[in-house]
Amino acid sequence: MEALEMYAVDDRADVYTEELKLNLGPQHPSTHGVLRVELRLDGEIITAARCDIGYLHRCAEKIGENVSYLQYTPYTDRMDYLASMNNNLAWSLTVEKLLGVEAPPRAQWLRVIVAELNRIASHLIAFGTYGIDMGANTPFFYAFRERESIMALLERPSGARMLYNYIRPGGVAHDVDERWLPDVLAFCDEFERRWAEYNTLLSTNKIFIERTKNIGVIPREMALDYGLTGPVLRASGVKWDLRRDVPYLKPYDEIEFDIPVGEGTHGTLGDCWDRYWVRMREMMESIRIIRQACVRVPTGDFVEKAMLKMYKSPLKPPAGEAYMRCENPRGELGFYVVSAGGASPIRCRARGPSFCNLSVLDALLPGCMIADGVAIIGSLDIVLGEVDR
Amino acid sequence: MSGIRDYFGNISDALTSTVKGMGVTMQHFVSEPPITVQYPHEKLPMPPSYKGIHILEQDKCIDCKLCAKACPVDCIEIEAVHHGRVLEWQKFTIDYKKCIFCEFCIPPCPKDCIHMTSEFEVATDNPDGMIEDLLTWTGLRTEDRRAIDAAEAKRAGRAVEEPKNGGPAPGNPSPAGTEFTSKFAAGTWGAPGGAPAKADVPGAAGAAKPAAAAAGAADAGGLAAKTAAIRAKLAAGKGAG
Amino acid sequence: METLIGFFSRLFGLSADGVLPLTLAYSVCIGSLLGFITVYAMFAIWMERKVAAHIQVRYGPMEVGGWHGWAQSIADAVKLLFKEDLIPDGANKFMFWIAPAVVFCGVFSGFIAIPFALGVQIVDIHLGLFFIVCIASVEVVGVIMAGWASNSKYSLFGAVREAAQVVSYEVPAAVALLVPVLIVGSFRLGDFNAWQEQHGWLVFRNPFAIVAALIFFIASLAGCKRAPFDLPEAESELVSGFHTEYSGMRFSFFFLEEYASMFVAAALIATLFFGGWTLPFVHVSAWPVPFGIVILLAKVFAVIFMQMLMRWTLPRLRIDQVMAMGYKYLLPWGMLCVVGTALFEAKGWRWLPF
Repeated sequence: MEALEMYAVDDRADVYTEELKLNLGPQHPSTHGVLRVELRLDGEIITAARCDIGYLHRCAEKIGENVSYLQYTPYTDRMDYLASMNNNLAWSLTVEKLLGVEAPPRAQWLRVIVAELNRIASHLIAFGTYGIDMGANTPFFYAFRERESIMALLERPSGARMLYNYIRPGGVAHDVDERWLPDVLAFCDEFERRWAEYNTLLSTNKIFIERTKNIGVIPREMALDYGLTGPVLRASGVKWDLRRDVPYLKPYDEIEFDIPVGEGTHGTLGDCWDRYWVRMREMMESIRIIRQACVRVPTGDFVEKAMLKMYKSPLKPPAGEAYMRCENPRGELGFYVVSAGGASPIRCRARGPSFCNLSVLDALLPGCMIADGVAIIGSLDIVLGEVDR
Repeated sequence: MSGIRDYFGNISDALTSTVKGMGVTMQHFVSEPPITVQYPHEKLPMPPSYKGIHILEQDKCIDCKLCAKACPVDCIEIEAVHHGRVLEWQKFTIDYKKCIFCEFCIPPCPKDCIHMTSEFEVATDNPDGMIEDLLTWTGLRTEDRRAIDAAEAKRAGRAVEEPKNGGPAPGNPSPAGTEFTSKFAAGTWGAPGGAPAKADVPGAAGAAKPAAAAAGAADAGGLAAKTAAIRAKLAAGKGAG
Repeated sequence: METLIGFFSRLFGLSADGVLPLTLAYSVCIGSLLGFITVYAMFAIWMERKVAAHIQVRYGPMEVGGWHGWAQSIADAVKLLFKEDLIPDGANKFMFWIAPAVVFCGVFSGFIAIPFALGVQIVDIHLGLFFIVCIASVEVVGVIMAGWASNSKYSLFGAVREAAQVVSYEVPAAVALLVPVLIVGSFRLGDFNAWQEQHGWLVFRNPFAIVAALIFFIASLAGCKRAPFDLPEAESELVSGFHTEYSGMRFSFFFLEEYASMFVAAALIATLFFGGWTLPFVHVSAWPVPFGIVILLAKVFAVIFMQMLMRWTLPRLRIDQVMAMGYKYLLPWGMLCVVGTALFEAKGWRWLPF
């Protein structure tokens, strides 16, 4: 990848100025991981930008060709490590599609609850780190207080705090204890109170609004052209959510929830504030989903009995291919798997939402200041584990 | 006109939002207690289902290596010599530098002899300390050796020789690695005063509550019961050796 | 300090104009001031960490020294002393070396005019207020030198932003400070204390004084490079800005400078608007000297606490918003306050019964 070229800005005989070339990253507190953005600056204004990724590439897709279908589940955890449950879910659904099995109802409802809890946890990080990017260090700690409650809740069925490996082909790994569902409902009550606090601290703060309104505006057509998904797309006014439009779990058909869409509240439609506000409202919608799901979880098996043999001997799906997509906190995660009948897939491709969302950065950054650049990167909410895999 | 309205609107928005924000932080400063747990002086109770360091019931293990095959990162290494049904154990190590704590090694075991405890303190000073040997004894146990010798002698048609001086020593405990296993069985892992001799064993010298007693808050029965069950099985196994 | 000169001359039986008593008096004053600033800075850093921690529902330093980590700052100071003295390749060595000194001296000089109690002042300068405002802007030169000499683009960014910001906010700060000057009629800081002992706190003299106090508070936050104006050291953008390349003792000079200028700003607010070492309508000058010092320090730390609360609540302003706020909002309102105060004083209006 060639570097950005330097252009002279002002070449009068006595004064020669050049644009400044600055590397934002890969070690930088605000690039949300090891992202390098090569900037060309005229003073504080960015005139050109180019993303350089690959610093976190761990050959996940190649590894998928060498391990079995069940063994690959922990690798999917580590792609978007902030939304592990959702990654596991997408992978498990893809394998189930290849095999032609379906998880039992209890497993599906449990999957909905843990996926939505993980969505809240992921959005909490987006909220907290966005505050830090803007200079407000305190909301991050409040967000982590709630995240701690979620991690403690998710630790009980799965046994881990962040890389859960809980949703597996055929169902879920373990059943939940009898006090888990009431504890989840108690968490929902607590969270609603805290959400109001976050708004007082950050969302309605005049300085925060001034820093994020009219910055990084993504018009509707641009969002669709670049293939953006998730809150980034919805903030530009496109009401598209896979949970409602292409439901991948049966309970999503039966639960009532809204899809928050950007409204251009403080500035142009599709600016940073809209993306931030869509995420905030999505957290409340997830609470709504969880509340409804907690009271409707049926009794029964938590894993398809016929699939239990996958623990003893590797799964061998029939030859074929499958693509399943899920609504991750960051957008649409899709797994495309090609099977030749063996124990490992012959192609295992992940369509990462952060990777596709990041592609719009080169077009958004020119024309704004460095501080705005940081705001835009934060509002896209990327995770480099998913960008680089 | 709208410019003037914006101007004064900006001022009032800035002042009110700042004051409200400072109200939230002030309220936290004054009345919200810190939620930090002062590790290692205090430790949080771990739920019984936590995926932590492994423990092996060596006497039940039949060296089928299903757990090693199930591991996605190939961190389990097992070596044993088979004498008919009797196993002469050499090693059963898990490399915790590679282990991703996914628990795929637990379900395949046909004898239900490998478990994951709720202990998580694997940190050591040197990389070799991260390779945990789960065996409590290596080699052959006394009565196994006698039985094998007797069977061989019978096949060869020789008389069975009685070993002098009470016979060879029982199977040697393996070197560094069983610290966790033996301490866990004895219930002293993580207990105060359980300072290990070697510097590279994870610190048990903190003034921390023992893992079993630390399960006070929720799930009290679960963790204590699970730990007690594992310890009982280990003690019963050792008694026979 | 006159008392000290007198004391030393009596001690040695020499005339009060001799060199020896003068030198001794100066040494004692400056030495004690340096000691005070160092101890204060270490305490302020500890206080900042504790305040930040409790706002963020955590504990802050707890280990070093036992009770709530009170010795953490001492440990940090020792660590900084022992750090390797790094000078970046290609850095301008002389400017790199002198920048922290310039920055610190600028702020340190402001301390000599602050009255801590009746008669407890290094020098009671006639133009005390004017002197403090001027000498505090010397630090800008040091910051620019630091940014340039570091041979790093990030540092240069921080330095240039800092220059623009601090210089711009000197103006509304100085204009807001004209309000107390108009009311009291003098630049000497001791006069402000004396006036407020008689008339009560200056901030309640007329409604414009409240606005002026607020304007000066905000402008001083910008001058100290504290949030929401901490662009020059914006950690999430520039990884420490102009002092990125500094380590060890050099870095601690910048850190000391930030807390020292916080103290100067807080002391100015306390002295000019909130009574200084006096209490309203109480004859504090008759009390022993330590009472005055305690009262002033209590007010100063209250203001410093407000500065810390603002830092940990508010996000950061972008540089163009910083400039807009300074010139479009603070400056016009500052001038309005001056005009309004002049009107109030000329007509002799009172808006409160006392």
